[in-house]
Amino acid sequence: MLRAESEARAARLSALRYQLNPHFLFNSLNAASTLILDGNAPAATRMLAQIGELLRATLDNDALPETPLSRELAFVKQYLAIEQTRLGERLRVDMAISKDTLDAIVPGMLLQPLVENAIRHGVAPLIEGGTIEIESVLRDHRVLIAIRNSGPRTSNHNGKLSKGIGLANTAERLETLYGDNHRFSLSWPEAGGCEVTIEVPFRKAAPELEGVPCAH
Amino acid sequence: MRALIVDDEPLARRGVALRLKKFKDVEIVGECGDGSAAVQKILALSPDVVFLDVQMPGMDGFEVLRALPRENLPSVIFLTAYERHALRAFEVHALDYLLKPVDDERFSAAVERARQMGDSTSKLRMAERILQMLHRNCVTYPSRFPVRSGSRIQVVLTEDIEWVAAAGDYAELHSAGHCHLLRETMNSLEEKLDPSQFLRIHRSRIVRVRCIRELHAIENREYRVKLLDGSEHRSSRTYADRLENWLSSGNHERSRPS
Repeated sequence: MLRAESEARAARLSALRYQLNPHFLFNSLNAASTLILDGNAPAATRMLAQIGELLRATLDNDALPETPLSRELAFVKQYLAIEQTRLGERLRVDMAISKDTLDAIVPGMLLQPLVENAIRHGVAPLIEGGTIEIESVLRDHRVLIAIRNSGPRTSNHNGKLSKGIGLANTAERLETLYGDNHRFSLSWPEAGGCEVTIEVPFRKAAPELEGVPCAH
Repeated sequence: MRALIVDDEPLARRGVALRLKKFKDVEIVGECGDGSAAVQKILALSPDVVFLDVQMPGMDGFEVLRALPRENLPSVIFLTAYERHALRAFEVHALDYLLKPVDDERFSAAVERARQMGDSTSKLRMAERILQMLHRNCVTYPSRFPVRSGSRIQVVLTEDIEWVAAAGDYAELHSAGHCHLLRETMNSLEEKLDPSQFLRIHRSRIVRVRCIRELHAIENREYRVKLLDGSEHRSSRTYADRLENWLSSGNHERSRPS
């Protein structure tokens, strides 16, 4: 009975696995192609390696359902590097990561879809672009992660965003992994833009999961 | 040939500019990163060809074209990453597009074709195809109408509507022998019905063209229109053009400019 439950849970999680946005993929490949035409081989190869990393991570079916936050952040940085190559100065990134959260166990592929969502709604549609802020803190033995995007105060106020596949998937995954013992919310701060916050219980990663090699 | 490059991604614009370098007779007259700037530049510079990204912040590529007066429509080579619906539309209307990442050979072929668009006749034909595409792919019609009677809301599917009659502030939707009263004027209802499937024949009548069985000429270009369900309707002279156009087109599927 227990085993059946856990199998069902695994199947559920794998169905919810993140899928790479094709629009992002093709535009990134096109940017790499321009870098080659431009004779900028180092930037082109770096970009292709980053795209490869993303593809690998999304294809990797053996990925653990949970992973240290440090690894998640490394992955998000790869993703953001590609987006910055594509969007140029229209995308600004601000990270405030508290050191004691780096070892915290979080769901794998948690942040990237949320950051992508924030870029898609808060930066890409705006001619002047915008800023993405990622923040994590430890409070009362719980990990708080916030992802914010700048933008006009009224943008996406109609709840349209909450229907986005990215957010719905995240909500389901958190529910499957933590039940009631988590918080996941979406808000539109006074200052404008949009904020997604996640709160999960703090668990430290086992030592062998630490020190994951980072591409940078 | 004078070219304008429109794409929100700087590297994508650069990619087009670099590929254009080998065409000595092509001059890049401008670049823009969003739709409204593109509209301004097209109007100001009248480029011969525009490399136009489909997905952009603010106005997308289709909206750019829709914002332009017919006589200002340039030759267009669409740039697209992953818009499957758009691709079908481009194919159907024989419009040139380039997939990202861009293939050099396809790029050259597209530039070659654009170059042959030099004369005014082919330019006009291109504008016509663009207009047809915009008309057919960007207008969406509701697939159903909610009809309220008391606390009950009945759903009438557009595909089931055979004819519509005006009834004061209401419109009668006739389908399968039933009549549903919808609070909507004929004019606003007409806009919600696909003109390739519905025809207004009178101030107070819209009929589904597929349901028309017989026409009896009365006088002054007026007709008695008999439908499949046996109902008869009188067309008026005001709408005679539309009815006669439909009659002579012989093609129920083709959308007419409304």
